Amino acid sequence: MNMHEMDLIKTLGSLVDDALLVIGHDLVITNANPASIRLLGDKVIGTNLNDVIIYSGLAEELAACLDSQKPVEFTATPTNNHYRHIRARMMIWGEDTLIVLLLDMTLQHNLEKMRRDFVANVSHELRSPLTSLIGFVETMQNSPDMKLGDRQRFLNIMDEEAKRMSRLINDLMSLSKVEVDEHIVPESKVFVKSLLMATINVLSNRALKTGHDIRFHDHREQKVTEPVIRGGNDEIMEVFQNLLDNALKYSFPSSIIRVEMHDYANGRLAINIINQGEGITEKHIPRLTERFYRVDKGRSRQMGGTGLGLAIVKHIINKHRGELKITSALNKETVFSVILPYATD
Amino acid sequence: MAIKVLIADDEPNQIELISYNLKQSGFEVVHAADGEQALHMAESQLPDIIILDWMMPLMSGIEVCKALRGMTETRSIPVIMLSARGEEGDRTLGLDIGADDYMTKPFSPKELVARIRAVLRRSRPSLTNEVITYGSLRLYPAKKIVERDGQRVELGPKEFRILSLLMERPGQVFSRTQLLDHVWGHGIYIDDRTIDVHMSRLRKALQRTANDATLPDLIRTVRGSGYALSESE
Repeated sequence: MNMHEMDLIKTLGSLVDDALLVIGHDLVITNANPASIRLLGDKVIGTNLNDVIIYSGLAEELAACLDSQKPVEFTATPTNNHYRHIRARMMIWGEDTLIVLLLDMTLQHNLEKMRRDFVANVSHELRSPLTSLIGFVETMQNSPDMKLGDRQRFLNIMDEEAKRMSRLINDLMSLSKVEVDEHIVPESKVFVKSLLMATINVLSNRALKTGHDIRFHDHREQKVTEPVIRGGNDEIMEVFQNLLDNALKYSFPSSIIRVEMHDYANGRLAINIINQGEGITEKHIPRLTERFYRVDKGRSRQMGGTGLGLAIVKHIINKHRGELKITSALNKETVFSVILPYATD
Repeated sequence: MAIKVLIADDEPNQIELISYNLKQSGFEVVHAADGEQALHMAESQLPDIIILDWMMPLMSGIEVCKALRGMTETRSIPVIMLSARGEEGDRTLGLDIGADDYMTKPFSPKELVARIRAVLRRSRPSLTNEVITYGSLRLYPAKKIVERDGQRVELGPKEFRILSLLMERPGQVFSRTQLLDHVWGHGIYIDDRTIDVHMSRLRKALQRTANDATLPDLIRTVRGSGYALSESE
């Protein structure tokens, strides 16, 4: 390659997001664009291609390329990071130069995996209650002389499972809806304090039954004014309802649940929901908002949980340009903190 | 003795569903709620067949199946896998790991019972009504009759059970412990010599004919290991 050609490569290289490598004699890398440095590390130039990407069939691909005089494509892993997936494209140029383009497919690969896992999870979550429903229907159809006690028990199970499916489908629709609109910045005003009080009211009957005491504290500086944020009323209510519902489910019976409002840094409002319970171990906390993630699957099912509640909450909060913070530890209190920007006008 | 089925599933309602249907069909049922418990119960209870759910906490159905196939005591217990996963390679993976059959959920309880019977017919014929033959030996599990060369062989109940086991796997050597577990039950203490006495009775009974002539010995004693049905008939 002469100076002019090298210059052209360098210019092109600086404009693309994918790693562009120029390979010379003996597979030594003679030029690497900024994207290559980002992907493969600083010490790329001067090293052998084989030391920078892992692919056992490299020699064969090279031979095929020479033979056919056409570009070849294959998947490989960078040596410096085994968790990335790259698509490599290679083509000969001139007498002894190889041009290699590396596309980082990691994000796509991970998204694909997440999508597959989600579909598998939904399939499993729907088929499980359906198994009981279909199974007991058939059992009852085939046993006309079934004892009354058994009949009652099975009808109760079928009722329970049908409602479980219904809740799951509702949550799936909720999640779907929030994801679709997530990028749309909300415009209407939400009066947070009133909404919060309304939510507490809605759940007060339930709290009575379990002996819980829900206490509300306003710790803001300007207690007199109503805190206003930009958002959707129904969606914000869903967040509060979901979090309070969880607090009721997972805290000790007859314990105190505190709902507090604070001013937060950078013109934001923080709403904290604090409950006393067994607490959540550190390792689970980062994963709580993952779809279908449960700390204890059996217990969650018993409580009527779908595994999607916190994922929905997270998406709604994201849409409202807010933050969700979760603090807890084994045998300690659990705090779910919703931080939302105050409306500026 | 009723056929014992171990059901492993983390959904209590599904255990109830399968349990009720199996009991209605005359099976005895024990159950486990997770993979570890399933493995433990398989070892201690030695069920005649295991119904294993794929997705379970602690150990998945696949892992349990692999473990079962790796232990001598449980290796030959037939396994039917149940799965709600619905992924394409699942059935193949399940069968490759060693399951004898695979059903997706939702399933028809009647079909499950039918498949249990089908699997047992093949791997535990002595538990079903199929005749087991070996050379000129014929064993009728339902009628509890044994014939050699068309002639009736008189056997006591323990000898009959021992012969059933030996005939299911001709040539395979069974240790005294395995014979003990199968005939007397797990956890019962019986002297080694008692087993030997029964084996001696079985051997003699198989050799005796109507006119008191002696037929070739069918029981092979493997020193230090146990007993097997002789392969040379």
